[in-house]
Amino acid sequence: MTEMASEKTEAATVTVKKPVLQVSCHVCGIPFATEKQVRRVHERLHFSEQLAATCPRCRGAKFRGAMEQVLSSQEQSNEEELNRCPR
Amino acid sequence: MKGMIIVHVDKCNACKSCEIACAVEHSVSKDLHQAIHEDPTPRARVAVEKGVNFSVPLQCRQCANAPCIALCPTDALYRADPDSPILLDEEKCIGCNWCVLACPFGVIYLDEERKVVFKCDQCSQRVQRGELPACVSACPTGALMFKMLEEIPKERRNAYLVEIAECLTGGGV
Repeated sequence: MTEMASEKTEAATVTVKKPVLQVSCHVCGIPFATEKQVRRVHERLHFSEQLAATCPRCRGAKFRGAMEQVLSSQEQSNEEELNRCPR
Repeated sequence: MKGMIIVHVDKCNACKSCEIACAVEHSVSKDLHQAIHEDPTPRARVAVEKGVNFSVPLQCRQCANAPCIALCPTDALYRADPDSPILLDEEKCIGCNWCVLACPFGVIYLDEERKVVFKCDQCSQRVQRGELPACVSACPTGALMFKMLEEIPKERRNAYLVEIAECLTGGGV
């Protein structure tokens, strides 16, 4: 009986390590999450496939890039407005 | 009232004072000289992103319909009230990384050593005491400002968000 019990305990502590394929970030190419995680983010949060497959680090850079684009277009329109103004 | 940390990108010179102030504020001692020797090392919740033409300090944008809260399996991320910033209950956090993957701005970080996430809480304790968030008060150029949502015209906010969304979805970046 004791032997059986110890066998059972050993069986309960066995851990199986399975290799899990990771999805690479479509911007930097570094693997960052499993395919299942990326799919869940895409389906549950309605993120575009592109955004879901972007690693958190590149998302920050992308946001900064979008801000840069908006500000440069604003600066351009301000300059155009100044040029139009009679001096 | 809901507060927001506003960034004036034209004033930011990437000195990273905000990062240091944030890490010190979230340390145990709240003192720079002692915080350096603390274990675990205090981490900043704001990160200065360097661009081609300008740099910008990025921190949690406190989304209204926060995807991080939606995906958190243990309710470790929560709002104390509808106007409060998104807070983290470290006791509940299991370090599953879902919120990190859910954040559209990449401003939630995983502490690999402690297996908990950390994010900007807008220094809620300081704000409750009537002080400014640490990053805002440390900024030497006034690039960071803390404003109540009511102070910013709604039209201006919406116009800016639409432009940002267009840039992000248009793939121009």
